[in-house]
Amino acid sequence: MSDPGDELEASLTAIWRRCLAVDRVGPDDDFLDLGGDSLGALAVLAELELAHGVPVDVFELMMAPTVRELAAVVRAKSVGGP
Amino acid sequence: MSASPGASHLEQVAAAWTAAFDGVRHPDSANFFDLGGTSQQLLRVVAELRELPAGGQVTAQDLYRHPTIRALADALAARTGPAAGPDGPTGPRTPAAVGPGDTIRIVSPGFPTLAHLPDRAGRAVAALEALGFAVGFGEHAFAMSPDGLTAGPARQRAADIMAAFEDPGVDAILVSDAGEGSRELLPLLDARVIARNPKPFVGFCDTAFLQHYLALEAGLGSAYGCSLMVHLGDVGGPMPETTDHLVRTLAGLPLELRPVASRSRPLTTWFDPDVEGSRRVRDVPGGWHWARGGVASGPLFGGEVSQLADIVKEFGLSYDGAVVFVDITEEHTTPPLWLLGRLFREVDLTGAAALVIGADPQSDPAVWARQVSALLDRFVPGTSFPVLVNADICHLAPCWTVPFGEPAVLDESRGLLFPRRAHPVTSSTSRSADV
Repeated sequence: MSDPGDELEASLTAIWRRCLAVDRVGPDDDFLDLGGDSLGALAVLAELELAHGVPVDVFELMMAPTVRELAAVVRAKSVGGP
Repeated sequence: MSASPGASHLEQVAAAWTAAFDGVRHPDSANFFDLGGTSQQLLRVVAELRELPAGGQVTAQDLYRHPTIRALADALAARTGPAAGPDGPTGPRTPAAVGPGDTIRIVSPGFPTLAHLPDRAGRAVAALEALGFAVGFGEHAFAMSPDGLTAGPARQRAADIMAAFEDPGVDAILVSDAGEGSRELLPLLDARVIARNPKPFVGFCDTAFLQHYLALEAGLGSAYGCSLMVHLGDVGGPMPETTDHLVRTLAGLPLELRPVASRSRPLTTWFDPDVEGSRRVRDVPGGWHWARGGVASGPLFGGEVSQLADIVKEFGLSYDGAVVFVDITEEHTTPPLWLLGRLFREVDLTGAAALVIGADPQSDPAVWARQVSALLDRFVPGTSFPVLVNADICHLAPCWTVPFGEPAVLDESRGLLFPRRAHPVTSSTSRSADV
């Protein structure tokens, strides 16, 4: 019964934790504050595309630097198509 | 301390007073001694002010003679001359004009590029000589450290810079190349000696650390944009715009910078032997984009996109009131838009007078301009100052050499202007109040 948005955010959270090697990632934690650099960004975006089939570029991540905002970008791209 | 290169004399004196009175901001007309100011507080005001552009030469006696914030600010303004209007932003003073027949000393503050590429050095020197300059080298300019990354020990590189300032036979100083090693020279330089021997210093990229030091510690303007090896050593000679800017800036002439029609591929591809041996081709369109229009003025400060946050930390400064330029380089593995986004988040630019963002040699100019606009809206919200994108500064060919620390005007309809006037070669002391 869970909201698909929550599932997406949970998936992104797991990807961030793995790629940035941090234990806790809140939905509003900032990618840069978590220690994310451009290599971490590329790792996150590669895993995101593998898991969800949606390409997101580094600029879009910079503009949407939290799990919540990034999930919104992924949702918008999924609906709109590539 | 929060020294702002763009703050007015009044603001700078008030900041020093406020620090001495433990954060209490007294009225501009209140008398220091009526407020119970002690000799220790007086010395604190002097010490604080000496850290700021307005107060480089201030003494305790000045405060005795001018015991209110306003009186002291007026006295200091009369001494150094307002850089941009009666209470407008002040910058460091302009060095003496340099032109044909004068001697340029080459120093190597960082990379040992001279030692790596002697042919390129020869072409670059010939280009300077063709402009009428005599060229000499610092004692250790051709040195190379065992790891090949710097032009010898920091002590020697700093000694070459000090020697160039102190040598009366040297009229201007040009770096051979930039390089990370520039930053470690700061504690090895002597701002008082430099202030007594002001002359133009031309650098770019990492040398922005040195140029902030010159402006903030020695009260000396410099020139940003050019180096011997990177900008002047191409086969077939440097691009005419590049040498024109260098000559005009050294001569103290007014500048009106406008977009160029075309550029070449990324600048430092000359490390590639094939590129190094051939003439540079201008096959990339030039042109500016205004992320935001308008008109603004202030002293020009800035540096390379990955270094500006460190520069702000190093000097504890703010860019309030300044025209801030951001030089984009292609040399990083990190995309420039990532570096620019990080800069916008790490450096408070909300008080800047204007921004000038360089072209990204790897990006489509229109795309880059749109990305910069979006980053601004996201990370520098609530601001409306003019922002120029795709400026020709300075990891580009051709590129600007611009007066660093001097008053600049960014005007959507006229371009980037430096309303200077020619200074007599001997005029290295002060600027008059009617600038």
